[in-house]
Amino acid sequence: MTGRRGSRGSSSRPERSGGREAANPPGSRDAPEERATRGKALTAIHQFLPTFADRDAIGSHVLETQRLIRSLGLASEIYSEDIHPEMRGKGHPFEALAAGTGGNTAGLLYHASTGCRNFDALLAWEGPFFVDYHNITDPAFFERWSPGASDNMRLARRQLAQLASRCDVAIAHSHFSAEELATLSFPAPRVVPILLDFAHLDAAPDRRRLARLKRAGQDGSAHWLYVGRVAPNKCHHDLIGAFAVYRAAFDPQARLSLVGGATSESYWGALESLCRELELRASVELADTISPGDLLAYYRCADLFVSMSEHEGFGVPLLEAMHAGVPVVAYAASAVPETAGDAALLLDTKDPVAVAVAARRVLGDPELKASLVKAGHGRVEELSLANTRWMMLDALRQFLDG
Amino acid sequence: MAPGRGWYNIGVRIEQGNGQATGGLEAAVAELEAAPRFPAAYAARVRAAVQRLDPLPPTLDVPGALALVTQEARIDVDAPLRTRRRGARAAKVVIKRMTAWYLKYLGDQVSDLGQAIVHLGEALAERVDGVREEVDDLRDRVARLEAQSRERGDGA
Repeated sequence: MTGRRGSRGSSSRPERSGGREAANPPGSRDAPEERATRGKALTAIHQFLPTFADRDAIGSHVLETQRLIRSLGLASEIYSEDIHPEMRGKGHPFEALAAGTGGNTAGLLYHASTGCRNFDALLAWEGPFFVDYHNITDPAFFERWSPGASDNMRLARRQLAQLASRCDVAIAHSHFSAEELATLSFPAPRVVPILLDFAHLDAAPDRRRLARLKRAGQDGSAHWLYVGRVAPNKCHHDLIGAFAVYRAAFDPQARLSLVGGATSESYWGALESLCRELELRASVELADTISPGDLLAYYRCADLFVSMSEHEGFGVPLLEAMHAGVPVVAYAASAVPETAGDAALLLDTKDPVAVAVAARRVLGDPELKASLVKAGHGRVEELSLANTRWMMLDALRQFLDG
Repeated sequence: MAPGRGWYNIGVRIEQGNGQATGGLEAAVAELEAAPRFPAAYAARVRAAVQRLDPLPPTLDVPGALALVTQEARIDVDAPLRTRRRGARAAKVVIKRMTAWYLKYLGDQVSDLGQAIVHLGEALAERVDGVREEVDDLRDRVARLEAQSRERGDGA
């Protein structure tokens, strides 16, 4: 089946020997043997990320990584330019890092995802430099809706390119991202899934929200769910289009919940207009940022998780849905196929009729639905914290062991 | 059907095997679209509406740019009411109701202006195309005349 648009990225794996160890220009980075000597003397690995926020996949990953580094007997602190209030006790302002936490026995793990205001100061870090690449969204997605965000992503990409010559060890959370690093001549990137603790998803959902959602679904109509920030690269408009066709062709009482705060207010506004235009105002809910208890209620009550996102560096909500036993239908772009594995119905088209038919197939075929749910549980197990921690450890030891 | 196969290089398998589930999807879509009860007009409306929100192409030609102006010139006066602050939504609803007539009046004029600019753009694009064709014709004629002149010069 031919898609309306092609995927923006390939999910094929990069060459494992795609690093540039052999082509290291003199003076641009230390020779491997020098790094090994220095690595053995490491006393700390600190982490830096531009924004440190609660209920954020990168923030959670950074906290888990800190535990891991400390378990190796090394000191580890988290630094950021923008620490959200709820994370203040867990992170330090960037200025504290600049004031001399380093020295050449301290490594710095830089989490790359957005532009950094103090980038030049970070480049002057004396010790070993690690890059953890979470992926940077293609600025083209934001050009029309949020030119400021688009500029920030362009800046982030320029900064990433500069990091290549400074980086000792590079980590990416998908082959999709690793391919980008290899193109920029980073040292052979290691692919390590993002560190995710699914335990918080086993907590009790918000009772009132749960009751309300259950009441809404009493008529047997389907409840579609998508969780992710309202940003143009997530392509909520494609999802709304597919849902509109599904509702018109199969299930007039079906509902769609879009959970996540707005990264682009103008895109949010355009989605509201789209819902009005397609006469979906009563059946599509733009739920904004919600409490963890509310989120769990949505996962408990959803019949289907549908993602039309065109750009993901990993795709945490896919796994959260699988953990909750919700079957997943997703557009196979960027890192989505890698993350979903064989546990999702992956589509190479976003045509609204095709997506509606795929959703109908899952919802109308109990056997297929059960097999996707079962595969989803298996996928979550594969990417559980118990499994991914040692992968991260292995990547960190790459430098420590020389 | 599903693209993208690969493996994590440190032990976790990533391979999708849902070919059976997605197999025949194209035929199922065709069958649905051919069914008499299928809401074809609504589906066409959906496709058009969704496509309008797609990312912009890297470069826009004149018709593409004019289509974008047409689209953006439709002023939406139905301002969003979302807010996290308690009571703010009620205030927004009141303000929206009080100013709706005024915003609609302004919005209609701006939308009309946008349409007029599109018409101007279309007329200019048509004129430029006409001039370009005339220039091409003239270039051909000059080339022919130069060739004839050279032939005559050679003959003399």
